[in-house]
Amino acid sequence: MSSSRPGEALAIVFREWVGRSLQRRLLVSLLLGVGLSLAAFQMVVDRLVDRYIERSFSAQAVDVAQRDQLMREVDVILLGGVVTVLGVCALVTVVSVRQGLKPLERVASAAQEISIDQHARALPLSDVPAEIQPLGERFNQLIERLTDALEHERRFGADLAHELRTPLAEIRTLGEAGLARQDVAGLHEFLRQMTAAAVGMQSVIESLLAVARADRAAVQQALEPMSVSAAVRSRIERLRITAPEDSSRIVSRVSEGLWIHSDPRLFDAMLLNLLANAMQHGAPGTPIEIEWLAEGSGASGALQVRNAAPQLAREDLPRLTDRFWRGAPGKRAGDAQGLGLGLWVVGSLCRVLGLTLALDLDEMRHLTVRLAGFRAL
Amino acid sequence: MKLLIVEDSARLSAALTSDFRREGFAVDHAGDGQAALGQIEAHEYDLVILDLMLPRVSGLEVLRALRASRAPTRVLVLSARDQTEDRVAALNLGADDYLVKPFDLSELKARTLALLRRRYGETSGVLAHGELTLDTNARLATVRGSPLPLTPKEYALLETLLRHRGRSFTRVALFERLYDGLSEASDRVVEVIVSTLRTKLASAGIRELIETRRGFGYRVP
Repeated sequence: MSSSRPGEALAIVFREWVGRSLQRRLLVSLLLGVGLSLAAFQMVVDRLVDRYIERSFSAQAVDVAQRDQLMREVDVILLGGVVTVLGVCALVTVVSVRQGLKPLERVASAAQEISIDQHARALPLSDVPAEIQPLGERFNQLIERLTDALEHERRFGADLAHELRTPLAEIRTLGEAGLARQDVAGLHEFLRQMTAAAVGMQSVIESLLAVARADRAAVQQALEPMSVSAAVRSRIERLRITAPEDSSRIVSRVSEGLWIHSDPRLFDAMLLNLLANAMQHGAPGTPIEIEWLAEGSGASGALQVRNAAPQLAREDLPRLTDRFWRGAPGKRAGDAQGLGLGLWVVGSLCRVLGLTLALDLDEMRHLTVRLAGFRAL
Repeated sequence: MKLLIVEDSARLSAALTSDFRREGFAVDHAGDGQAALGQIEAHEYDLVILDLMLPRVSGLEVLRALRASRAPTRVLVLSARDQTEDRVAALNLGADDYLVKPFDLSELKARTLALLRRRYGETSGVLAHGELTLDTNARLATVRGSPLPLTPKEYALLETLLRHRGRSFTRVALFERLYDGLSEASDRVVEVIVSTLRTKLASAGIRELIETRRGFGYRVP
């Protein structure tokens, strides 16, 4: 055992230091080729020299013809030596590189087996040449990100299908039960409820589409100057028509003349979702306050919406922006029931616009939602 | 037959309640798990139609509590969750059936009637007494093959008495089975229903089917 230890150690050093790198393999191959060829060349030259010395001692003088023949032999041997060196180097290099690239074949077949229908396994990189390792690692990171994205999409699809099942069941059951009714008033009420359920479904789909269509790169390129006070005023005026009772609770403290660089369409979508969330889940009859807070030296600002939220607890805050989270305990029943999408939409659009979303619940159970990072003009 | 619909969608529960009531069932509604537990403790239901994703207390917790009480109530789970593990979890906890939303109303009613038949150990949907026959699926009474026109409440009362032949029901017990918890009617309405039912049966040639036992109530011998 002890006699094989140096050999084993050498093999380990060779495997770890040389075997893992194509460059080192090439270098060692070249050195080996050149070394072997030089050794052979040395042997041939030695024999020629021996022959020359032998002839020199046996004859009184070396005639010209003999010297020319010797020189030709030396030329042939030199030329042959160079060709041999090149040949041996090429052979050793080909064999060495082929051996070095063998792990890539395993990586290629592993890559071929990657399927989008199942959780993709990372490529085996343990014996891959060091020069290829970074590429393999990047590839594995990409696969991991793609797998996460696919898993996210699958969950999203499952959530969406689940959330649409209930309004679909409402519409279908109201329709089937309504068909059996004889009284016009009852039928009218069923139709009204069916319409409300369809509007709920529409809201789910539109919210999801708004986020899906908001492409970060495209949005960042299309930012434009906009007046905060005008945007807030316009949104409140529109809510006065669609939700006159609840919107009367909205109080705007945004001063005139505030201009920012943003996307007016997404700004309005975020404000609408914030206000709808406050109107739907806030304490009835209590004010909903909109404020603009200057940040730093005034180069940026934050939009803030504050309302009483007695049903919320501090431990609910991390879940408020979860998709389809409705804050089950204490939620309002009937038509006022939310979709659990409002703050998720706001959070998603904040990411698109590069804003920061902060939520806070004070001791008096007032919820403050702050969108920070708007670039002031 | 008394049903409890546990469903947090007000629209869906309103449509179901309306339809089952029209069929003559006494239907109560609970909008969350906590209310459902209260209703189950206060009343004896033949069947509970139970959603799983409920506010306050989940549907599975309601199911667990119901089974722990050893009540013979049948449970039909009506849920938007369509994964096998959800069905398995509910059935393992003691649910008798599982239907995924959206569903066909006629299928829900057929499954409800099948569970109610199982609840009373019946194999067919027919209850017979002499020349009187009740088709519990069609909810139709016939005498010698001719339909006997009954109101939903009259039919429900007759079905209850025929299903429990020999057992006496007090006026209050019958009222409890025929009317939901929100009903403002007095239990004296049972006397009126028995009276009109007796008249209709008599006119079809069936007399003295429903006995009155003083101090015990009504029964079909």
